[in-house]
Amino acid sequence: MQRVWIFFAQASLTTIKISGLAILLGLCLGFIAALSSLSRLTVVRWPARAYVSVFRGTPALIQLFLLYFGGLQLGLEMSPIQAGIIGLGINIGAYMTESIRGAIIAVDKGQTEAGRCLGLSRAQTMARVILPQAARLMVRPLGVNSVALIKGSAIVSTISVTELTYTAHRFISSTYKPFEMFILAAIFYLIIITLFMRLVQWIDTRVALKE
Amino acid sequence: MQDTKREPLIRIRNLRKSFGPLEVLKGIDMEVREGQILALIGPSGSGKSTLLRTINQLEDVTSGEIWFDGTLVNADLPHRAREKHLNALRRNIGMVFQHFNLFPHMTALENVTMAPVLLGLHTKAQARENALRLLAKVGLSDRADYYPSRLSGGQKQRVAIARALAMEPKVMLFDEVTSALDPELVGEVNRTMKQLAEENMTMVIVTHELKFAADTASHIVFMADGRIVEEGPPDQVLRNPLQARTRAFLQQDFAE
Amino acid sequence: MNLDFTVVPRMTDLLLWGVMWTVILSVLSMVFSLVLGAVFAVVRLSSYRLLRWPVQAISWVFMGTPLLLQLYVVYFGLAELGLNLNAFTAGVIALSLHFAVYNADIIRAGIQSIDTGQYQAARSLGVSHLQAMRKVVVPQALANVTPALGNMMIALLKESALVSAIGVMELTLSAQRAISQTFRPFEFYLAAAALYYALNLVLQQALRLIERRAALTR
Ligand SMILES: Nc1ncnc2c1ncn2[C@@H]1O[C@H](COP(=O)(O)OP(=O)(O)O)[C@@H](O)[C@H]1O
Ligand SMILES: [Mg+2]
Repeated sequence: MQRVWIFFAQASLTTIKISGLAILLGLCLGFIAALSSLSRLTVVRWPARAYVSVFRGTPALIQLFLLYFGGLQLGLEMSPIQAGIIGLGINIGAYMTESIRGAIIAVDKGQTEAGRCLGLSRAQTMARVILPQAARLMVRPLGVNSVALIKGSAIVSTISVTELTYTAHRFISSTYKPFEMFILAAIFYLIIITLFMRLVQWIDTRVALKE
Repeated sequence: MQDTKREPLIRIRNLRKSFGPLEVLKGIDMEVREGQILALIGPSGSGKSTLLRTINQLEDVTSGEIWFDGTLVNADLPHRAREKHLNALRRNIGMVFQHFNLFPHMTALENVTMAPVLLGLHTKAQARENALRLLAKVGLSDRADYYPSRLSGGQKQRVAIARALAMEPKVMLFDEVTSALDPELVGEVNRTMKQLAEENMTMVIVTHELKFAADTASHIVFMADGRIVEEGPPDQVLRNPLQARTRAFLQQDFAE
Repeated sequence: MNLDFTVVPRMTDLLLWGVMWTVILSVLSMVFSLVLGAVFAVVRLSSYRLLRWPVQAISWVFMGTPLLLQLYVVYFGLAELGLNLNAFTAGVIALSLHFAVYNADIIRAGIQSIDTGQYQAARSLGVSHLQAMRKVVVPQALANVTPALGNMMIALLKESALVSAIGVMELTLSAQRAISQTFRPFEFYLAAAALYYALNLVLQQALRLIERRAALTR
């Protein structure tokens, strides 16, 4: 039984690693797509809107399979872990786009006007005036997206990434105790997610502090 | 003091502006000379704010011309060129809003220094020195490191004035800057504006405080329903108006 | 590139079969998750701590763990405890429970957001507690929560793909069957994605109609 615990602990690290990297990828994509979706130019706006619509409109599992198995077919070879991180990241990026976009839009229009009136360019106003204020508003929704991603990361077990869910699944065949194994995995998820929510709260109070 | 032979700083020609089907400005002709303190008065909804906001192109116009310091403000340019043109222009036009629009994530001092440093007008040290001087001028030396959330409405508005002044503008636009304030805080902001007027700053002031307009302005413009009804020196427009529309507005207002 | 989309139409029957079962599975789960969600919400608002506590625990566990894991527990885990469910039933149960917990939170917030004055006004007219809830509080809360519940239903439709992992024959698994016959994952997963996207659009339209209805009754 002790061996099992060690395997689960290791698998937790994999879940954390995959989720962490996917969240980073999602944040990058989210920022790019959110800023693009607010652009004046249709050719910039349109791809961002399409990205959000398509990736929010289809199951993450299908997206993952398309990337991993479809990728193999097209000669795009990836390890399961790589496919997992990229697939999850692109998926959560679409949701994060909406969180970031919502936060930017929620900043009072008068702030943009004040910035522009001082002679700042659109980009300068965005960087110095709007984004710092939007940052506070996006911590919570991005935290919600990230928690969803950590839970959603279980789907990479279906392409044999040895994270928590996969490990629980694997031990069933050697222990014949599915209930216990899955409950054990659930405990690890609860710990990871509880700790992560603490982190989000801490960030939230940190960003809110200066005012 | 006024050199009438010189070209006015702002010249507006047959300006029209519609929001969709609603025509808000119906052919405005107006001039603002250097050093002039122009007060724009009129009933709510008459288009005063819109007119003010077209001067620095926060609102674009439907037709007509706005000239500022010898350049056509609403010139028809490709997007990039127009943005550049507007950024340059807006540095010279300070604006103060009804709701302050201070940057809440910056201290009073940072609010004042940000634009001059970012736009290369001053070095950081210069900007700081200049900002402290301006904050002292509006009576807020001791509030330099406060965030806006810890300032009263009157203090916020004075920081906003200092912020606009830091760009060393050629004209200052004020849009009902005291109407969101508690009555007891109006005086401190009015005093600051008056002080600027005494220093010969060119100012366009949208206000509903007729007494302040009478005391401070060198020129009054009365607007109603998207048109300029009457203009002239305060003594004439406020005390002996020629137009019935103006008289009606003044009576109603003094009666309050 | 080695792509051949002509294989897709040859599997139309299989894919449509999958679509049908995805719809059946999702709609059943939606209904159960809403009913159960309402029950959970009422329990959590009730003054009986003995009832409240287990529901609170359930919602903590279901919100803190992956749906996929919950599916495995219901299907494989309960079997170990002697409760043998077929895959479809296990899928519906897991989806219903999972989304019931989220729906309960939404419904609870919706009920709490209703001005207590509304309830008291009804009671002062001599209306009973139950009637006041049914005639005054619930209709208003319903209009408030419809959009958020709609988003949950959209999420449910997408997440229903996970039941393929326990072998429920729905759209995702039917695509996988097609792939095992043709060895063309890209074409069929893309086709499945397109079908999910279409189902999603239909659901969004339906929700828009329902939302308009709910808003009108105010
Ligand atoms: N962005 C806008 N969109 C549509 N209508 C507007 C907008 N801004 C102002 N208006 C309308 O234009 C008219 C003039 O408004 P405004 O210039 O604010 O008047 P004032 O400042 O004199 O009260 C009003 O009828 C107002 O409703
Ligand atoms: Mg106005």
